[in-house]
Amino acid sequence: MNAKLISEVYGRGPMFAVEEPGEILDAIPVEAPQPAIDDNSLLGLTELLLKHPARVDQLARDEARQADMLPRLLAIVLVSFSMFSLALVLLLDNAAPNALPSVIRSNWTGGWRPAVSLWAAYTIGMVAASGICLPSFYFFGLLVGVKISLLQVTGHIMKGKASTAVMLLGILPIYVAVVLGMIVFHAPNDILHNWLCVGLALPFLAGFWGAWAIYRGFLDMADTLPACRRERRTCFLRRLTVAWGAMYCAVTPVMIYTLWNYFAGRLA
Amino acid sequence: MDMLGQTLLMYFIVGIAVAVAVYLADAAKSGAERGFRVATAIPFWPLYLPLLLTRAQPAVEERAPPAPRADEMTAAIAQVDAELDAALGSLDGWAEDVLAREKGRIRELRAAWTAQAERVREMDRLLAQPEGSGSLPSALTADASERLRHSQRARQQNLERLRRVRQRAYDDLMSMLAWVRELVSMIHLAKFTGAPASRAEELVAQIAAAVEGLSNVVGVDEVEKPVSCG
Repeated sequence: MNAKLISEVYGRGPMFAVEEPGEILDAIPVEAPQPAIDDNSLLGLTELLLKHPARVDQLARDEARQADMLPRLLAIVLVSFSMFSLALVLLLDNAAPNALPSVIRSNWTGGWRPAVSLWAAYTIGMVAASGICLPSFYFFGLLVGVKISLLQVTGHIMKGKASTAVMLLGILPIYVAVVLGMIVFHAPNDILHNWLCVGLALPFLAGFWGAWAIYRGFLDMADTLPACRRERRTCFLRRLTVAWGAMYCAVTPVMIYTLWNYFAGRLA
Repeated sequence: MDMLGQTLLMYFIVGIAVAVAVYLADAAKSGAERGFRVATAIPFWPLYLPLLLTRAQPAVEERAPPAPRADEMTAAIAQVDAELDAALGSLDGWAEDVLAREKGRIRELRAAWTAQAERVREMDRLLAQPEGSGSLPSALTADASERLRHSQRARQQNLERLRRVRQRAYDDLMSMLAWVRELVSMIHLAKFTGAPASRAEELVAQIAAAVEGLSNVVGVDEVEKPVSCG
């Protein structure tokens, strides 16, 4: 079979149905496959998330790289959420008390205590929600039949979190500029109130990018399915990934709200 | 202490245990990196747990597949692999759709090359085994010694056939690698001569289709019937 195939190929048989692209001009040198970005550094990984997310997908699949990659992705998430919390605290502190969103108004007394509570609620809440949903994502993968380990699932989830974090850092300056403008130019309180509510939801808006990164990375795992079942199972995998995304979207706000109330109540 | 407080207490106790495990497991890391890991392992221990649990496994896995020997086939596969990577990498922004579609099959193709090379090596190992003296024991009856001679002849013939099968498998592998290199060079040429994306799709699809040729490497139509002495 194989020998036959080769002879067909080299004899320009039916398998080799490609037309020659005209005259051969010259030998073409092999190009470097990837740009030289150091994926072992924090900044390099951030750059890859922006420029070559497909390469980060590949890295997330490599179990041997996770020991280095996971803490770096976590660091990106922590830096981004800390900056977001800091910006939000500054805006909330400077906004009129009756423009504050009702979910935080009662516990927002100004000073460092609510600030720390807000930071802890967002930073711990976002990552801890991932931790809670992690086993379910692993079992979803097993249910579909993809060959995936818990470590690879963790890699994909953290890659999604880091994508969210990078997107959040991207939209944060625009948001801060708009709301700061409203505070400085004394915009009506109801408009400011709506914008501050948007601010609280900003990580979730950025989270769509992260959810897309997880979805894309997880669907790539479909290539571990047997070829004869790939098409049907991929459809199932797609639905389960969306279901997991919906579950995560429900868990995360509840987690953040609960932690915020707990920390704000304790530190008050 | 309320329910949430108790839950958080339990959570952080587990976190401290995981942080200690991370500290012990990360002996090779630098001080700052190790400190960051240990500090973040307390609140974010669910992320570190799979890492700790997976680390214990390599010792078992390492024993299983012996690393392929660095020989002519390994070198050829590595070279074609690198060239294929370069060609597929150059599809970005031109014909990346086909790359996404055929990624699985291309990965299978690479696995098939490695499996084929391993098959050839295995046959080499068998053929390299010592032949023995080949002389018949003297204290045999004429009937028994005839049967023994016939067995030895059959064995020689089977080994000769195995040698041919090995040669064919080797030729197939090398031809396939050469063909993929040819297609790779055509991808580069198509890109730089302004060919449409459909042309790249066609070429990548052909490379991916090669997996079907190699996956049948144990080919049913190539079966050599062993010679039996009976």
